[in-house]
Amino acid sequence: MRIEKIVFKNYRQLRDLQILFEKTPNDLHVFVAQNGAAKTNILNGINWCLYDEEPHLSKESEALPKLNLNVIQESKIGSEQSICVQLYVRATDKRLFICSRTQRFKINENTEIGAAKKLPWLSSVDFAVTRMEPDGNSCIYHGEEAQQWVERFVPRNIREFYFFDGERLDTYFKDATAKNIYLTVNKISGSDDLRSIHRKLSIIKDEIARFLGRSNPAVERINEELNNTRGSIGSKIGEKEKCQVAINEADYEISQLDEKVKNSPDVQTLKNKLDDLEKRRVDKEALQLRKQKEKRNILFDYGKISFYWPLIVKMNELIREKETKKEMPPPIDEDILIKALRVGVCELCERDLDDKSRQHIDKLVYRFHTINEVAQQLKHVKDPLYDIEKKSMLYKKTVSDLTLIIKDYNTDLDKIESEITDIKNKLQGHDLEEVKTWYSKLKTYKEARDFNKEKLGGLKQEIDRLEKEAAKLERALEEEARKQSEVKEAETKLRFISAALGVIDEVVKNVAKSIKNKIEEATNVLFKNMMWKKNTYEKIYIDDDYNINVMHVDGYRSFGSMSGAEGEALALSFTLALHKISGFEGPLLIDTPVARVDDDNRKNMGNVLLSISSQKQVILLFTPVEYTGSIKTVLELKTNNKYKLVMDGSERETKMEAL
Amino acid sequence: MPEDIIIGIDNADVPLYEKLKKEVLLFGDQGNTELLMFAIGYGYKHNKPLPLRAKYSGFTRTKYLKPDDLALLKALALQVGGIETLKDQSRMVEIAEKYAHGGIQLLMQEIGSSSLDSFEIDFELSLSQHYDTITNVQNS
Repeated sequence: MRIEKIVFKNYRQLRDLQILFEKTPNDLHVFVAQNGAAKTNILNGINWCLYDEEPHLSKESEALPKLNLNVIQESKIGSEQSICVQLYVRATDKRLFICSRTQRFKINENTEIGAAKKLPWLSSVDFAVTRMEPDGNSCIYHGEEAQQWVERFVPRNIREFYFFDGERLDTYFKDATAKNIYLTVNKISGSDDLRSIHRKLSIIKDEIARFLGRSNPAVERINEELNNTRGSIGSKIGEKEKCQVAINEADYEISQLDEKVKNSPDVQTLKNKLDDLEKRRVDKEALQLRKQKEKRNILFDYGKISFYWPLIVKMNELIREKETKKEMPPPIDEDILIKALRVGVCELCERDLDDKSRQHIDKLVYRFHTINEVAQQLKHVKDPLYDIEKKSMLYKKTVSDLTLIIKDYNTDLDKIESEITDIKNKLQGHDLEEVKTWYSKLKTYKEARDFNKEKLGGLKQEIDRLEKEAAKLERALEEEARKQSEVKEAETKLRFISAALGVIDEVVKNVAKSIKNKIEEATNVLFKNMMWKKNTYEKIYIDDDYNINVMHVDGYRSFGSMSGAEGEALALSFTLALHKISGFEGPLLIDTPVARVDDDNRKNMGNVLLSISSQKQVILLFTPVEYTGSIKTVLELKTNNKYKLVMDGSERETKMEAL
Repeated sequence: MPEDIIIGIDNADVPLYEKLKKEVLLFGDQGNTELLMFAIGYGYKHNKPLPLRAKYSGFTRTKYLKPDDLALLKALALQVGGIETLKDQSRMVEIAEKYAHGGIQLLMQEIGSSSLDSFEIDFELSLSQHYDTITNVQNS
């Protein structure tokens, strides 16, 4: 591409300026201007038009409004003004693009004391690219779309290699060389986008890694617990099935046996009952026998008494008669009386005997001895006979009670006997052993069934409990699994991102390496063509660390020993190599291109620039001091596009004159 | 202390007592002294004192008599031998032995003349009547 025309309207000092870049065999355009005559603002104007930036603005200019000061001054309060820079660019395919950036302002009054009285207030901006086809058709693009077209001429990130201050050539390989080259290669290689993706992916990777770091170790534990629970359920279900089978078997056997025993007595039960009855009968008979003996003893005793009864009556009469006649001994123990007299103390009341008591006892003892032996005998039989009489009075009730008891025993025994007979009748006519076996089996199966039913109930409850437990664990596991799923997904993402990052790294590295090699190669070719010392430098190479080196023909590194002009030539070679390798063959606009080159080498630089202008558009902005001597001689011979920029009397507007 | 005197039975009565114990339930659980007292009473009731022809001395002794039995024998002695007999224990025993001899003979006849069951039933019935009689007497 090449710039065909630039139109400035109200842009800083460039109030109304149109620059035509006519193409000549050497597409070289020279502008000479004093400092402050808007030379650098041509550079700024181009940058502003294309990228909305003014990267080379001086500190003085930064303080000033972008709108031309005269315009502001001349404008009425409330009026509208605009700035516009138009860049006419011809693409290699012959299409013309008119890039036009416009800012509209409203002129307002400034009431701030000590400041300008009028202030332009930005009211609107517009950036448009008009595409003019060779056939005359055109298309206008605005905003982002327009900006995208600019990126096709000279991308924003490498514009510094196209429109720059000459100082750059002087310093480019002086400070942070490797870094500059590395950054440059990256810009050229377009790997910034990849690196941007790399950064974003790295951020995502970090987030995923942190997430994975928080991944839950509980899953394994819950899973193990769940497996154990499921195992238990399986085991219990197995037991339950066995139980059910056993119940079914028992039910079947029971039904079979029920059928068999339906018309047969329950031998064992009956036998047991029979045994019980017989035992009861024996017991009852023993009790009855005991009572019978008891009764017989009563009969015997009373019978004996009954024989003697008249004698007893007579004896009692005699005793009463004797007692009435006081012929019976006193009802006392003679031995006690004698002892009391001997020791002087009553054994019964433990009192000492006084005379009166002693006399009374003497009388009793005397009476005791004076009563005859018969009376004594009567006295001895009195109590036993009394006991006999008393006992005899109980005879009838005692016998009656015993008789009833014996009768009850008889009734019970009859009943027992009846039951025994009944059972024996039931058992009669059956194969008792076989029936007994059936009942035995029936009992065994019923017991087994009951046992298994009980066990089954327990197992069902246990299974129910375990299933609830398993469900709970399932939910917990699902929850954890959900997290785990996220973890797996994250791991997959992580692997992908890691791989992607690796690929990006590799691509960036390879592209950069490839770009680096191409730049190195192109720089070598350009530098050799450009360099006036044809036999001094052997080769330029850029090492893996992006350090640039110049190999002297004698085999030593000579980068540090190069002159300023040689260094600028190298930088220029490198810059042009970037133009070539990047694929953006734009113009080369250098502000103060040889300001830092000594006069002896300016001619050489002039030749270099002239040489370049044979291949691409070269726009050089010189100061008058700079554009002198040998370089002026060299350049003026090859170009008619020479202009002088001068300030008007107000020093607020720049005019252009042919030089 | 009363002296201990052998109460003899007639030699012929020994098997009777044995038979009585073995064969008649009413007497099955009784000892010699008790059976002797029963036989004395039975002999008295039926007023059948019989002198012993040959005395068997190994049956029982007075020391085995309970106070009740002794009282009853004294009552018998009083009745048969008069009041002075009470002082003579040998005499009392002699009287008892005679009634025992007569009593056992009669008892065995009685038992032998009836079935074993009917004897006991009749005996119980007679006792019931006796009881009613003496209680009526007492109440009156």
